[in-house]
Amino acid sequence: MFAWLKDYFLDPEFNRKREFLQRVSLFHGISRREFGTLFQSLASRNYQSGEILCKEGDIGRALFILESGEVEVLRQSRRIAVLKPGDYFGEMSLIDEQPRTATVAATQPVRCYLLYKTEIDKLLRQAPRIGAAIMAHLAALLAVRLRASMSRSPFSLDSTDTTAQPAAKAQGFGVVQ
Amino acid sequence: MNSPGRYLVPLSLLGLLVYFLFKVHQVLLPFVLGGVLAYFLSPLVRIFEVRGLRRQPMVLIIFGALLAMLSWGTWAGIMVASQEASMAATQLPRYVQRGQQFLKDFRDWEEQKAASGSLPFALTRRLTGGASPMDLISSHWRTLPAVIAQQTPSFASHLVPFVELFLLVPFIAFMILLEGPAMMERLLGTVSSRHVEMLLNIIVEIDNSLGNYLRGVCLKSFLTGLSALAGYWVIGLDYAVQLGMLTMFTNVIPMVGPWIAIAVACLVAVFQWGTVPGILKVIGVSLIVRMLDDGVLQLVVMNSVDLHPLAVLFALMAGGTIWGFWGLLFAIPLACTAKVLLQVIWQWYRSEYGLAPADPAPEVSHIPLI
Repeated sequence: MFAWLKDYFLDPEFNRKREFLQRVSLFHGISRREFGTLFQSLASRNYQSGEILCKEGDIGRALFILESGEVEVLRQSRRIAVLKPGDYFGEMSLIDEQPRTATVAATQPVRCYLLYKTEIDKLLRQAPRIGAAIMAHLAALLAVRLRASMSRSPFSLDSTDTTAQPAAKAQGFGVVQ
Repeated sequence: MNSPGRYLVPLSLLGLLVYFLFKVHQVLLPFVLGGVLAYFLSPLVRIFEVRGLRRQPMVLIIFGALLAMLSWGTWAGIMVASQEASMAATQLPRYVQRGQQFLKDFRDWEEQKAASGSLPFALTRRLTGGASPMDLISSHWRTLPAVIAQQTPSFASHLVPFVELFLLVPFIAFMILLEGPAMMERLLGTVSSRHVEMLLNIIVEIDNSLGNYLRGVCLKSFLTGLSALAGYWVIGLDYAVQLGMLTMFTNVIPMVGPWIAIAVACLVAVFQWGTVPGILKVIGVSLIVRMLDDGVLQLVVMNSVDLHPLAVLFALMAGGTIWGFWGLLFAIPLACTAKVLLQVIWQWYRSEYGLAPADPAPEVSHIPLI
């Protein structure tokens, strides 16, 4: 009886999503209990192979988290990275709505979670622990990129320097701003 | 597909859809109301969803609880109404006598003033052709029972759509709530990948704007109803609880709603006390409640939707002109939605064509990283 009630009332999809998102470095500071609130801020969408997820030069307004499939990151038609499930990109759009620095195209059927900027603003107001954990991670990501960029070129503060990206990637960070 | 074709096909389809919706606009009301009810209930579902519970059983439980509450409310309402009716049957002659006395006193007072040559009263007499205004009103009211008897069948036939609404709206809301995020995902799946972020932007912004407005309106109606109840209770008016609830519900209708509750409260005062000071007490309390509502609570709601007062007034007048009662009810939420849509499309247009100025860099951006 108890098992039946558990099966009927508990959402198995919830646990699957939570286990997946717990592995995403962006959400490492969020406790197990808070993932339910975070899910409410995420939208999801499927993309076909060959479909463009975001285009270089377009204004970015959302962060993408890859749940399944594979995407390639292209800058001026040159492939600079391949992202796999658990990777995320477009994180700088959560801070400023500036043009995307690269194009991302699906090389396989892809399923993504999207976190929109207004949703992160809402999280900062209504669930500050979650919002602050995400923003703290983004600040750490920026710092890593900036230091890596400076170690390559000490007199430059250009954070779009692609040489910074392998270091950031090594720490589990995204590559498209 | 070439570029003109790419835009022509979706635009033609959109045009066809708008035309179709315009043609069937009379059947849209239950869907709109169902959507509104689902939107109101979605925070309740969310409370369980964030704890990892399945959506479907939770929606069933919430609707079951609502149905139980509604049944209980109807039963309690019928009980109260039957009690009130039996009380009214014993009190009615006294109420009628008081009402008649009040009208007679008012007529005598008005005649006395007109006879003494008081300018406003003399002018009124000239306008009414020498007859007392009270005579005109009472002769008009004498035909009221006949009018009511005449209109009752057509009024009953007009009630049928309301019964349909009463049954249809919860069903539609139930279906929308069951779908929940799946509906959103389907919607996102219909647009091209390039416009997903824009659509998401529109949905999130509209949700924020409408959420603020609805929360504000609910809080405002509740506080207004509560203050009316307290005021009427302090002055000893009968049916203070019912009048407080009426104030709360009618407060949802902008501009016209609150005055309906005040008119009913004055009517109760006429029958209860039948004196001018009694009515003045009710008017005084109602005006204080209105001042609190318009002066403080309304400002809070308007700040939450971030619409200029003139835009609100225009929206209300336009809504009332086009759709009457429902137009008044939905004018501000529709204005909020239209504002958000225009803002998002304008932003997109500016960024798409490079018209938006770049954000200035923070003042400390020139300081080297240390």
